[in-house]
Amino acid sequence: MAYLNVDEIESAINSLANEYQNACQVITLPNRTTEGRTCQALNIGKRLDDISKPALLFTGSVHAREWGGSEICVYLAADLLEAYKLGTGVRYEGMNGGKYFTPENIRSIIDNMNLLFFPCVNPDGRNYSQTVESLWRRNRNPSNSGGNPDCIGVDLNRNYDFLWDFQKFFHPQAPVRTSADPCDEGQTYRGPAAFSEPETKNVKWLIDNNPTIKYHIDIHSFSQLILYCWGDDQNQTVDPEMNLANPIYDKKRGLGGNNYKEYVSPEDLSVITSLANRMHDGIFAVNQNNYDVQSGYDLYPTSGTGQDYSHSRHYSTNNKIIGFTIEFGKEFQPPWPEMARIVREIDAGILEFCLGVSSL
Amino acid sequence: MENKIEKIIIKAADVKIFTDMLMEYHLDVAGEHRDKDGKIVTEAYVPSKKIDQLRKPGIEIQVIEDATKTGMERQKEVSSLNRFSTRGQGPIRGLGKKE
Repeated sequence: MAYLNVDEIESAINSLANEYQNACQVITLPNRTTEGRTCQALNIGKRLDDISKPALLFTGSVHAREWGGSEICVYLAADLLEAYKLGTGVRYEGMNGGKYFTPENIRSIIDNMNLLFFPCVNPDGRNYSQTVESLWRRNRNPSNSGGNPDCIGVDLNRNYDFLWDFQKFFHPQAPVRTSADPCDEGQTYRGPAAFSEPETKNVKWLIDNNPTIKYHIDIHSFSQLILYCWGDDQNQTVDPEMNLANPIYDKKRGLGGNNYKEYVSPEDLSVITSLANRMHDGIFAVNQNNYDVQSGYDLYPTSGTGQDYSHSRHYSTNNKIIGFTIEFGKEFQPPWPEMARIVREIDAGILEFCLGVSSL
Repeated sequence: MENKIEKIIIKAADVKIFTDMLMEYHLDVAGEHRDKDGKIVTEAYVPSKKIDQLRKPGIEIQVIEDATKTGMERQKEVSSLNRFSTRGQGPIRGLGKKE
């Protein structure tokens, strides 16, 4: 066994679509990457346009060096499709027998929802990380580098349209982890505009064109965390007018004090914590690794992230998406046997999350 | 190696010291948390020539790994084939046991 290279992610997706034609479909994304790659997603389920069924979006390897995000998606898709066809359950082996999902669990997930996997959002970056600089985080767009190879690329998880213009929306002293400098050594350059990059445009396209998407899990590493909204400031549930779309709070966000806290409804927060805890329990059951559940802000303040963008869309559309981020493991690229253990535990966590969704 | 990147652990006495350091040096950090003494702890990936600049009152630095070397070893664990491209060999299989 070995980590998947970029070509293998594509061929793996196609191998699943060829084998299990009645249960999944390949979706080709419209925006080619800077290096000319075409990206693909895989939908598991019957019909993405069936409004009676929620769709769950999973994005992996947005950050180039976080290789295992793609494997978590691809191997979970393969497990689900094979078990569904065979009529079996799935066991993720680990300590104390691991975690078992029954044939009824697998059937209920595939029959009652759509699972939309976008395993490798940033194939140019992944390829560069896997063949040249292993710690590369961004995409490979050279447009803003001024010819300096160290300044190539945009941090895609700062490029979404969520409070992207941090100088406008955040307090000047807020330690928000994004940068307007293409040469930022923290690798958090946000890009020249929100959704300037083909990779984030592809995620947006998936969400725009599939209004049945109700949940988004963005898979990152590392820290053993499950993060939920919001990432810009602490949460509050009492003042709906104190929110990211209200300009009277511009330049007040991101300090974590009482001047501003981001609104989440009590109903949403109840669903969010319930599902995050289901995911925690599924992960824990495999290797007894105890992932902390916390808001994104509890890690550090951010703008332009995928998780928060998905959740914030309800301010401009009628469609609410609950966004999460998993930070798997304890290093970006663990040795493959360790990564395989992590894949099993995260896949168990995601399946438990899906069962949580079906029980709402 | 001139551009060697080290993986280091940074322990900061409080949030202000930690954020001031991040704002000044724009570090590539991951895995932030508090230890049992209340210190801010994070891992960072830093060029070796920059590490001494980070050593200041209230900041502890521990070098734990040559991240460049580890990264090159991990790159050897990436497939050099295209294992799922041949028609008729069957699809990729997951890591769960079907039972």
